[in-house]
Amino acid sequence: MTEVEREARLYRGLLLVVGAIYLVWWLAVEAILPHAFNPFLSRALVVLFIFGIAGASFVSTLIRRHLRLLWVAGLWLITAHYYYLFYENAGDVNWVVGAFITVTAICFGLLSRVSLISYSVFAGALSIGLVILVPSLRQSVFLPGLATVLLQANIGLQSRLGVLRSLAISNAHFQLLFNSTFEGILVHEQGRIVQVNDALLRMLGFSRADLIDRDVLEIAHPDDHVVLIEKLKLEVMAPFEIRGVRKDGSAVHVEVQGKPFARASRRSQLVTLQDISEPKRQAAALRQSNEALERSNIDLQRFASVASHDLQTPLRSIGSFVDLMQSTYDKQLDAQGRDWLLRTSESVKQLQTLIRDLLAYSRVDARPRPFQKVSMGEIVGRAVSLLDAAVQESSAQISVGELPEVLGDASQLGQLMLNLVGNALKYRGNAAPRIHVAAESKGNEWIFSVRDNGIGIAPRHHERVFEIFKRLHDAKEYPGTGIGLAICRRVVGGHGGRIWVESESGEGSVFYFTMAKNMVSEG
Amino acid sequence: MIDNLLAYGRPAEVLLVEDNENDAELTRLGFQRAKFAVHLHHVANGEECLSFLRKEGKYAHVPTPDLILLDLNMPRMDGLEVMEEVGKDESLKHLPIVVLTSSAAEEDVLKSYKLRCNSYLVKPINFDGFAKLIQSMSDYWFTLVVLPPNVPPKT
Repeated sequence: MTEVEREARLYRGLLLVVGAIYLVWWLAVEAILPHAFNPFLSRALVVLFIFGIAGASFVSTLIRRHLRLLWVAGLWLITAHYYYLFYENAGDVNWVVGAFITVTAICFGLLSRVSLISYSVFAGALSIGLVILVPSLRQSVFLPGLATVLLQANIGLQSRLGVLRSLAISNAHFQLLFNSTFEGILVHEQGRIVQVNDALLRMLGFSRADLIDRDVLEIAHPDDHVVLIEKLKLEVMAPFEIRGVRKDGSAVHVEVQGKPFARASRRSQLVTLQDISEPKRQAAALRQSNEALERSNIDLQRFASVASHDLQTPLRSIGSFVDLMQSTYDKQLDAQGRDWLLRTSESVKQLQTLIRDLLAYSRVDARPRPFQKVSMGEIVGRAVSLLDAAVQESSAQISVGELPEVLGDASQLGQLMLNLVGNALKYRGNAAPRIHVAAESKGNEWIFSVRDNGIGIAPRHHERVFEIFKRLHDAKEYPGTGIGLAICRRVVGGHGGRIWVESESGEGSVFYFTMAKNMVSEG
Repeated sequence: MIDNLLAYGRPAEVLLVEDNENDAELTRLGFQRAKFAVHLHHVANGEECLSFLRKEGKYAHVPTPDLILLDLNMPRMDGLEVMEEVGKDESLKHLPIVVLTSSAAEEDVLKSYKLRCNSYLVKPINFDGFAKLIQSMSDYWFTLVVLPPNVPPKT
């Protein structure tokens, strides 16, 4: 509702009330003073004028727009008419009281300072004029009456202005609040924007005048119009994402929600808009860097696999021909030659082992195949039976506690347990190995442990042992390439767990790794 | 020692499809050690293999092999493609194919058997292993197995 409409409604009401008071008083005077001077025509004209303006304001925009002016004119007309009647009835006290009542009613209806002042000047001039023209009126109560009426009008105006001021203050508070939010807010009536806050204007770069009375679709991206039209049919809009359009035409991602908004009995809806471009951009950047990482991971894996495969082929040839040399030309060679050939063949074997392990490592996919329910008890049992020869040879004692089922890749977990138990057997001290495999529940994960009484690892090496090709021992003491624990770390990492070791040099070691309890099965 | 002959009383015709010269040489040496009378024919890739089998161009007068030893990783046309082509060819699909490759990847093994290879062998990493492999393979294919009938080419 615009300012003009609000004013029109107010003044229309005032005209009707004042017209009614005037009419009632007229009829009352007819009844009380049948013989007074009381010209029917002039009174009817005034009443017609007052009600006519009120009535015409319903149909004519022009009259509605100037209703305030016409209202003041009407008041002047009534006042002048009363003075005229008063003059003609020559100081009759009934007329003084009648005029007093009507004019008081009029004065309370003066709604601005300007109208009060102009009315006072008019009524003052009229009174003084009449007092000079008709000296006999001096004895009447006319002038004190006029003073009282104007005083009351002023009181009425002041109290009205006070209400207006407090309204203005609370309105200012509301505006401040409305415009200080971080979210953009708009109110629309059936798609027509009726109110917007500063945050929204800042977000979209429009001015208030650009948006008021426009269709909400105009600030939505054309591709999202269909979605928005559907959403606007709902009374309550649950949060949804949509692209808005700035004044410069660029798109902005916003999260929108809306609910009905009571507003002068019209169907309107309050809609909030939150700029999510930044989080969206961050998410996209994160996704991109994730994809890049994944690509490079895959590349790296493919590289490792291809490289080790292609390295194997010539190496196999070297190894085979060295073998052939050894078996075929053994007799033609002297001790030196045989030694060199032996060294060559040893180195080839070493290199072959390295490449084979690298290939094995690269095959432990960072993202394992769809997880299945795996009984860790069975996995460990199988690993131990594969290690049977080493167990027999070292007369090791292996005990296994109660182990749970987990979700995982059975072959990878088998490799993990094989490596951990195998290491416990391999890095034995002087005593016969005693190995204990156990699991304990902690929060929403299982902590598995493999405890041995072997040679242990000094704390400064606890991180290093999990790195690929990092070894703590000479190949002569403990053969190997340093791939086992690297594979373990990769397997555990692929299952979303952690792996670490607790140990002191010479006091055995405990390898721990975690597995989530309630992983969702993917396959 | 007298080299073993096939039941037909003639040496076995073996087609080796192998791009790596060294591996071809080792295979040849392996057969030598195995003391089997084998005519080893060697082509370097899948395309040549198909030409050989279809006796096209310079291969017009070659015999039909009793056994094909097929490498997987080869330029131009790899072993899997060869098996696919041979499988589609009514006049060739009866030929026994033994895959002999350096790849032990499960994926390759599965794909090869899906294309109906007759066995899948991984090249051993040293010559002793290689020799043993050729020996066992020859024992099996040239003494135990009944090979499909193979009429020697008319000259």
